[in-house]
Amino acid sequence: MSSGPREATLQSLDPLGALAGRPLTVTGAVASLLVAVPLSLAAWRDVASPVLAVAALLVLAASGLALIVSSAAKRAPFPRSTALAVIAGALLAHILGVASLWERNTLVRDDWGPVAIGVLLLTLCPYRPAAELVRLSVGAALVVGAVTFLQQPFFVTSLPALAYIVISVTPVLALGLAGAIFASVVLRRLAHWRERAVRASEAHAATLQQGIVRSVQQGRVSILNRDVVPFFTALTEGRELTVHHQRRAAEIATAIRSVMVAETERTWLDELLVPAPAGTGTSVWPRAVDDPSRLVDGMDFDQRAALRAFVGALPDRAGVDPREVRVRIRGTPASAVVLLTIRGGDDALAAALAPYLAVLRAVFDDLILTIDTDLTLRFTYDAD
Amino acid sequence: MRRLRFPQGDGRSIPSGGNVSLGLPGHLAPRAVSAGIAAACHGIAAVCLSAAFLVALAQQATNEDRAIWPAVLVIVALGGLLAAVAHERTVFRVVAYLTLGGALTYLFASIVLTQVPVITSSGGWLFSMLKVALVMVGAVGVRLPGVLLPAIAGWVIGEGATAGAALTLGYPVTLDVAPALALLLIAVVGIGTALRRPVARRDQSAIHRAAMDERVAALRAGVETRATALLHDTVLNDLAAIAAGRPGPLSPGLRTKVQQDLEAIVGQDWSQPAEGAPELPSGVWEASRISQVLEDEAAAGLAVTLSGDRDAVATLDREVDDALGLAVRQLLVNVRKHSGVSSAEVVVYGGGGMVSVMVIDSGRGFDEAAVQRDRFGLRTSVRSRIAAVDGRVQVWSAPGRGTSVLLQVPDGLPAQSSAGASAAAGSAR
Repeated sequence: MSSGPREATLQSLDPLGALAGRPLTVTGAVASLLVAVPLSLAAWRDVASPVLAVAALLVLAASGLALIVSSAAKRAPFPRSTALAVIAGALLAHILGVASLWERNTLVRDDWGPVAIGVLLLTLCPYRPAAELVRLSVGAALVVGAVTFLQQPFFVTSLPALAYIVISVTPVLALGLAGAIFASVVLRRLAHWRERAVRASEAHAATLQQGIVRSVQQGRVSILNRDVVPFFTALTEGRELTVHHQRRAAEIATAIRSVMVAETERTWLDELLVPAPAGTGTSVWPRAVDDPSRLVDGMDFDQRAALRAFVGALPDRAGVDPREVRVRIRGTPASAVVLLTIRGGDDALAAALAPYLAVLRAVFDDLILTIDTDLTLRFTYDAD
Repeated sequence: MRRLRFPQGDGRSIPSGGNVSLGLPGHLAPRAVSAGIAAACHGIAAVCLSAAFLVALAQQATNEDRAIWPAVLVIVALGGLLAAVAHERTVFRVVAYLTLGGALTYLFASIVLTQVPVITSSGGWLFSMLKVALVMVGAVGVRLPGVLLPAIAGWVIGEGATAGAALTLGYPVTLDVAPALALLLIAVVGIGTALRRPVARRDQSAIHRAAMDERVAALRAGVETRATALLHDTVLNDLAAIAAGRPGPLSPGLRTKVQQDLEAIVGQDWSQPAEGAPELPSGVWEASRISQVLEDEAAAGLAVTLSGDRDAVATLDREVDDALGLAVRQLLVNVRKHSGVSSAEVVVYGGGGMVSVMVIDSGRGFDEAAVQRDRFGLRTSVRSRIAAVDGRVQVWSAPGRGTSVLLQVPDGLPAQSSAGASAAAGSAR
């Protein structure tokens, strides 16, 4: 899958909010059936074709089931095609329901189809962008309106066709637009907050800059104080450059280089998983990340932050030592593939980490979780 | 000779967030969700009132001898109240919407029941729309009672007003499903979000902490990179000069260099700008780090030829100027130490939003892939430095065929004037 800009959906921009709202999605999908079945039974004596009436309910149930299955956190992100399929299924169910009552439907207001379509549109709101929800709602309303128009000859009262169309599309538009409005209001608040939060945390980081520079200098100087400073001091105090000086200079240079090699080869992810003990001059640190092309440097800020949160949650939420984690990164800069393995991970571990997995899913492409003897995450990103 | 100092960040090195956030923080999420639910409710109410408006108009058109239009005006008034409560969700406005809305609904039901022949009970579709609009009054505050109570009040008032009108006029009161379903919807959504909120909040704060930690870690990584480059430029270069020197009296040049470098690394506070560094006004070639570097290298015995538009570097930001100068210095040191020739050419030119510097020698060349992994000059002192200021480095070299290195860094000009310049260049073509 290509990793274009992330979609403006609640699921990708507020993954924990969407995760918390998932039970409402299940409720909505079930509710659409709970509306349809009693209304269908109430109108049963008018049903011309019981087969079509039952088929309508089955198609609606299938649409609801598709929504429940696709909205599971482990299948994030929820694609546009699934949203289209769910609504197309609900529209088909409505058409079948209308067909089952053909020529006998005297009051359009008792149809369950528009309400069921509206409820399903509403439950899509955490998963799709607001503008798309508006388009879906208007599109569904057009179909429902057209179906109503075709039944006009059978209605008992003498109202103009427009009135019947308005009555039938009202639940679709009301509930569908409500979902779009909800998504857009929450996303707008999120964007507004984020703007302020980024400014505040940048300002905070800037205040730390001086301290960070001091501590980095301290680390460097403490290493240099051991060999370099005494050597340079002795050299500049004397008058001669001797062979001994030259040999010593080469030795120190080699030692410093080996530390620098180890340092520059360590990535931020190594440091995150196995922090180097502070102030040591040793060049031998364990490596947790197998990444020969240094693709890990191509992760963006959100991806790093999400991974940092995940690693931080391991000891806090799951009692796992981050040193038990191994990471392998392969592929190309256009599509880097990460394999993250936690030794001895199981279902309970995955459940404990669910919120963090939801965040990883929001920032990385096609994350797949497998559990056998180890827990393995596989995901990709664009490292360009 | 200008003294070496630890390059000061000017804030560019502070990582900014990506284009995506990692969710609303726990203390703001309930307010955002509550505002979202309220706005969605008002959307539902607006659609219902619009639908009632259109159907009431249709009723008037069908029954020309009846006076249904006052009912249409009642809907317009109710729409005005809705706009008021949607504009600002205060307790006062919510109460006003419900009480005035109840009175308007009673009036509406009385008009419709007396004027529309086909509507003969309190359960008419038109009434449902007004009742749903009352249920969808929106929440007060973020707590569950503030969500549920106004909706329940709206339902009771709507049903009461229409039932009252029906009873007064002698029509039956019938059960209405739509407003009850609307109330159920509010209850399910309100309770559902309230129950799940504390679970999400705990993890959300951990995620925001991680984002803050990431910002600090990235800041530290930038400082470490600059420190590594500084160490390379000073200590490792000095050690190499000592190891390659001739035994005998210590040359004054080397002694001064070693003393200065000791002072720069150990004696100075890196977080403060170097004291006594001569500050020339920026905007002139002589003030640039690169001009200083060329002087130093000429003093060290390298014949450097400068060509091109040297004033292009005068536009650079201080940090970029530092990075470019120190990178060029390392390239010239490489020429002196490794190329086997004692001359190099430096070409400077600007344009297209970039300043480019090419360092060329006709020495023995090298294969970059074969360079040992502990040789840091090109990797740390050139590539990392230039990458840290959003620049790029290209190297053309092969054993026996000399070396050309192209450094490109963003110029310090505002984006528009750069764009204007390239547009002008485009039109001149």
